[in-house]
Amino acid sequence: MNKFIRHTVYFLLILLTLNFILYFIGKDLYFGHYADHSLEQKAYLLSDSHGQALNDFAEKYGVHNFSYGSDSYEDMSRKTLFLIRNVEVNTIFISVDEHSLTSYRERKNNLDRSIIYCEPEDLGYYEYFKQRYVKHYIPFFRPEVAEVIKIYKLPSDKKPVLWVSRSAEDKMNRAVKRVKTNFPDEDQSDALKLSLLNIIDLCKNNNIELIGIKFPLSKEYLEAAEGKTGVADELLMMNGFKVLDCTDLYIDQPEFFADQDHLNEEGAKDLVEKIFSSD
Amino acid sequence: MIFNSIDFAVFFPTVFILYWFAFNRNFKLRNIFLLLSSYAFYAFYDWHLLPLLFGVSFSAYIIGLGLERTDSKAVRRFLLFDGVIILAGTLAVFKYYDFFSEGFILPLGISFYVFLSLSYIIDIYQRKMKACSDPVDALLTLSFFPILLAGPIQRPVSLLPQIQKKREFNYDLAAGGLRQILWGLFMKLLIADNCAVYANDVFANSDTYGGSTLLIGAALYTVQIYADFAGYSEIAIGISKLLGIELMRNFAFPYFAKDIIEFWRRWHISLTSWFRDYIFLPLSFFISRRIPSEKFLGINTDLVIYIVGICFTWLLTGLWHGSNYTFIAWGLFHGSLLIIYHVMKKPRKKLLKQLHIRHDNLFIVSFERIFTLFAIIISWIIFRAENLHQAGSYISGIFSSSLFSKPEFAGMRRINPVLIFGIIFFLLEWAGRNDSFALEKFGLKWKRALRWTFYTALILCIYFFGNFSSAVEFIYFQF
Repeated sequence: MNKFIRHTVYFLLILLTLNFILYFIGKDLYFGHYADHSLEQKAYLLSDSHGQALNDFAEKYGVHNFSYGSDSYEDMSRKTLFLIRNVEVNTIFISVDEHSLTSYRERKNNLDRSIIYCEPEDLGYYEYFKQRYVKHYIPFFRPEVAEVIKIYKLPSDKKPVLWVSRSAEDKMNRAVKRVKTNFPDEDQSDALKLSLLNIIDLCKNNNIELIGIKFPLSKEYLEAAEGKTGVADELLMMNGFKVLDCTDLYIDQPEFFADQDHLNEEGAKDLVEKIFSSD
Repeated sequence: MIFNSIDFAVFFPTVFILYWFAFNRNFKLRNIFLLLSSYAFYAFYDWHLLPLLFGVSFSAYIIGLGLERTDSKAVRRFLLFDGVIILAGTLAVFKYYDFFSEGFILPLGISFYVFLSLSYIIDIYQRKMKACSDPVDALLTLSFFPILLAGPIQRPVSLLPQIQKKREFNYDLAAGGLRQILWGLFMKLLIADNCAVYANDVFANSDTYGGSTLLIGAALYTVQIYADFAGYSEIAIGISKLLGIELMRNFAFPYFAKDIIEFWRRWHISLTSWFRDYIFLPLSFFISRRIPSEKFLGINTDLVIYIVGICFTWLLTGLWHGSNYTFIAWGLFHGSLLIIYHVMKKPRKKLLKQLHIRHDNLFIVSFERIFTLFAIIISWIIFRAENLHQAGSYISGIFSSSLFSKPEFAGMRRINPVLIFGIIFFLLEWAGRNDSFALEKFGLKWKRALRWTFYTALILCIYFFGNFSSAVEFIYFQF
């Protein structure tokens, strides 16, 4: 038994060393920007990558962009609760895009990152400890770190190509592929619906104005996504909140897009002016 | 709680430390602790199902005691009949209710622990073993957590004596167990779950793909189901070794089999041998006693017995997997292959002799291996398909003119790591084909530094190239 313990401890020390290396490489890459936020405003934008593209351009209108790529309604629900606990919030802008309730978004989310905005009682102590500390400090239990390291640390020969300069066929192919990813099936996630309803309740109970935004999409994406609808916007409207539908705002302006469904800097600045300056 | 979860990474080291250090003086106490750990393990998944596990194992325990305490043939038969009805009935209700009504939840592992309990009472009835009077030992044998969810369907006749004796820590056994767990994780997370991405895509969109892609999709599923289930079995056996208990082998490199009979000697050994011992052989003896003549309807009686026995056994084997016609078709397909092989055995031998070709001729053996593998791939299409219609159109899609077109997958570029690790996997399996698992002896003669570097590299490969994104459950959990 002693030999086994000795060898196990030695081997675990090797793994521990690797763990530390992975932790320090992965910490900033995977986690760093997710924790960035400001609590100085009274209005917040909660969204996935579509809202994240707006960067901090809305800050001048008193709106802090609290969005992050792949955020699901469960992540946004955690952030809403965090805001309510820590700051006086008047308005929350939330994305209600068609793909917000799909099984794709249920699978691809930031639950392991948005845990930082939770309190132990939100999840139960064991689950909180597991998510907040075990997964955080042991990257071997967080394979997403490996994914991020592979993306950022391994050399890539890919060069960014402007959306506007792509051929019509290439644009269409990319749009179709993206729609397939966003809508893998016809299912609407019950778990995400519950999270959105939870956000609605939180806003109602705390006198927060909730405004839905449907972000602009390229002509090609809209064509490819014909007939793909979600119910997030309807849920908001049914509860008396308004929805700003910007889906086809730039349908003839491909120069405003970074890809088939994300705005570039120019497009983001224009959208901010259109939404927040008149709000 | 599944083996590749954080929960298990917390649970098992805790159990291991308490088991060997806190309960090392009193082995009765150690078994009580192991039984409670097994219940905790099962309850973690869904505590509502714990009474079912307890009910099944306790029924087997009581019936076992009853069988032990009487010599009356009639009473023993009555008890056995009761036991089989209770246990098989429980399984049938939970497993096949959704043939008629949807939304019925299948309790995890029920097919495995019910079969374990059935083995227990049948073996006592057949006087292959004595009933265990100690409830803790008996219940632990029938609820031992490493084998609870997806086997191996260990025979109580070999597990119970290990539970009943005082276990001493064995370094070689435990170190082998750790290697087996590592290999199991490699198989599951790196091979099976990466293949799953492409196999799932091809099966989900089988009507849009050409023959070559369909064939590759089916081949990937063939690798996936093996790496998934054998990977699970290796982990279960490895965990058990760390607790000082040796389980039966469940897979013996089945895709290296040269014929279908050999394949079934190597695939899911615990289930195949279960059906052989408790269904096929008793049924064959039963029929042979009732057909005294050498010919039956002009056919050799032995062949008739074999055909009836195989058809019935494989129908049940298919049904064991669940309430879907695809499983029944899959079982009967394999039954037919076994019968064809059985019928062709003598003519084949005769033909080879006439042609002056040795039966172990490299060309013949290679051809038979490939042919067997191809038949197995076809059978997995039937097994994996949503329904018989999809299975039929999938197979006919393979045998179309597009079989020779260029294969096309979504995310084709990302298939490279799968191919590379697939080749490494194949080479390691081939190198270890005479051992009980690929890493059993691989590298044992190397210097420790080199060996540990190899293990660390495997861990890093799993970490960086394993597929964790879709949290794919073990396939056999659904059975």
